[in-house]
Amino acid sequence: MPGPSSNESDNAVGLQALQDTWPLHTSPPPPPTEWSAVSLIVLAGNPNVGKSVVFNALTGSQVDVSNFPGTTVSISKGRLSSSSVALHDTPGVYGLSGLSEEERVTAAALEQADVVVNVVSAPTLQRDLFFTQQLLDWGFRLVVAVNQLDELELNGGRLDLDALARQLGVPVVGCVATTGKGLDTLKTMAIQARLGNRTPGLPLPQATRQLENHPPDRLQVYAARRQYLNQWVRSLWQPDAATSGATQATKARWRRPLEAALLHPVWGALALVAMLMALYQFIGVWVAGDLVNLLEGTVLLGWVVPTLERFFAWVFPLDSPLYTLFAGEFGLVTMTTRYILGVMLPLVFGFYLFLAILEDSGYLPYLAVLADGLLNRVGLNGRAIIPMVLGLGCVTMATVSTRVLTSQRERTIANALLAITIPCSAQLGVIMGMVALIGGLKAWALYIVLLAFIFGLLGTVLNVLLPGKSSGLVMDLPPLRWPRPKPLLKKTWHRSTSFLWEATPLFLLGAAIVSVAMMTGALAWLEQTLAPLTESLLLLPKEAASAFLMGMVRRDFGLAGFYTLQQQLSAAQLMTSLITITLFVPCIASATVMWKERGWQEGAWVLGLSWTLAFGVGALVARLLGWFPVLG
Amino acid sequence: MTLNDVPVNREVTIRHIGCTETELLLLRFGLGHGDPVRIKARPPGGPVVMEANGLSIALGRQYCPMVEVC
Repeated sequence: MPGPSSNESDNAVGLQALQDTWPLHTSPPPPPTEWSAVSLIVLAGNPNVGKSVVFNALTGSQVDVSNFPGTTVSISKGRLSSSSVALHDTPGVYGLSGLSEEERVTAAALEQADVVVNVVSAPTLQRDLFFTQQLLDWGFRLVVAVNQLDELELNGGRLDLDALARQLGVPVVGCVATTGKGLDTLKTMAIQARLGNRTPGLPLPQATRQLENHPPDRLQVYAARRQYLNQWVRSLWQPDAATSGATQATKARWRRPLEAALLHPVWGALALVAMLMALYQFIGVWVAGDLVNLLEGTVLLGWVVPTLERFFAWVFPLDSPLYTLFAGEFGLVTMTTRYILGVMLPLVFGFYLFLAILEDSGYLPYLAVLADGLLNRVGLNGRAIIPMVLGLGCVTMATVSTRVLTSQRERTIANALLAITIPCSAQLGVIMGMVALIGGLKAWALYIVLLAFIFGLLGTVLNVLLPGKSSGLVMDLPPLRWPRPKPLLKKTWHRSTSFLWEATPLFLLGAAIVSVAMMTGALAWLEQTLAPLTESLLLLPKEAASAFLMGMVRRDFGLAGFYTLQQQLSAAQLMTSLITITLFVPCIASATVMWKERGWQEGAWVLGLSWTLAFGVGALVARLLGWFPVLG
Repeated sequence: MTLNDVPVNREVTIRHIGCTETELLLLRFGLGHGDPVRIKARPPGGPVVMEANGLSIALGRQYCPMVEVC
């Protein structure tokens, strides 16, 4: 078996062969760039090193930032504040060999760059410098931003940044992007970007790229680069680091036992259950109960909606179609105001806040490790937990994030599961509010078990039917962090207002369709026509047809329809409605993104499957709850 | 002995990686022949989580038999 020494000698032989084949770079690095020659700066680096925080700070943008690898899945574009220079943020990658979609996207973006700002994380420098060195070997003009220096100090470390700059041959700027420290220097240093020192023994950049895109040679180049880095990287840590950081290090001691507990099969599972119970208490009881009661019940129904109704009654005759359209039972203004501001907005804000805490704390990758074994059975790996959890916020956003999955097969399975079995935040909020009415935690547990069963069944069937093999999990786990309140609230606010912009016009459309259908008699006809489906199959009253009609615009609007009907429904009927509408067609926005990402054929079969499953499973649940009345 | 046989909390050294794909993936994280790793966790049916160079890396069960350790 080859040991370390024999491996080194293998590399030496391999490099000699490379040197014989390709010319070596011997000229000194060219002079710094002029600002006038810079029109595009591209940020690149490993996942979860803070590129998007740097991007937001330098451009004043608001792209999503989280504490897990794979938050950015496409190129974010902006301009440097008070400048005409474009700045692009790329997905985090570990290298540039086209092994994944993110690597291909990043490589294409880098080809356009005049200057590359390579963001590395101080605590994981040894890993991150592999990509830095690859950028140098490929001939990119570089500035290195060493981020998260505060994190390193917290762990008791200190870096010699001057020595790093000498080794790399490019400017190095230390920064703490979350506080803005060092970012002004980074902005001015971009002009100093240069080609830097390449790995000794590797050929000129173009030839190195060709070698790395050729699998048999790739391993040799990788090994040579890693060997070169290992020769000097440890000398960057300053000798007094152990003592100077000792006091700070004690502050981070809580992390290790907590991280170990989250990865433990028993404690990790208990933490998940505790998280779900906390979610129910926060959204289902406090937000959906107390806050929505106050906003919808007291403020909107008690004061705002009657005022609006009086206003429209003053403008239009009470029995006129226009009054019905604007302020009737499904009135555009009254119903939209009531549901969007009184029900959806508090629920969506609450849910996004909870999700942001999970994202920023770094909990999701730990959940990915625990879920890996289960997800393997449905043809996915633990990494897929991230789009699934993001789907609980917004399925549209999560559909895009399935790009983090390695193979087309995995993306097809994840897309189908997302579109059919994952309820978004707006839905979840209303669901939790309704669940609280019919049986509290027991109904919540039943809903989760039913959905998990359908998720498992659908995933298993797709795993068996789809050809090919899924990839295994390879992922680094970020350290757990206390989420910072300001970015947390900013992210929650940004996502909630985006929801309002997207949902309000669609809600108006849905309300208009139902109002017009009611006035023309089409709704009564539809209720009668769909009676075999609603009454006979799902055992629901025929009025449920209007909820399904709204649900075709957005599933949460359909739930809002059932929310109106709740007084007429038994606990079993409410649970049937919740399950049916959860599995019902995805909203217009996510269907559009699914078609764009996965093609119309895949989109069409997912839609067909969602209808079949929704009504099939709904009918089964209605009967099971009739035979076994567990909800009373 | 492979990564699959190492108990939690035991420190081992990577001796040989018998699969190019696995070797490439680990090299990117700074891990190769001769590097020490500590097994941090091993959830049932899930990946092996190892600690090395200040990083925690989860490596799927499929890859673990390819990594010989001592």
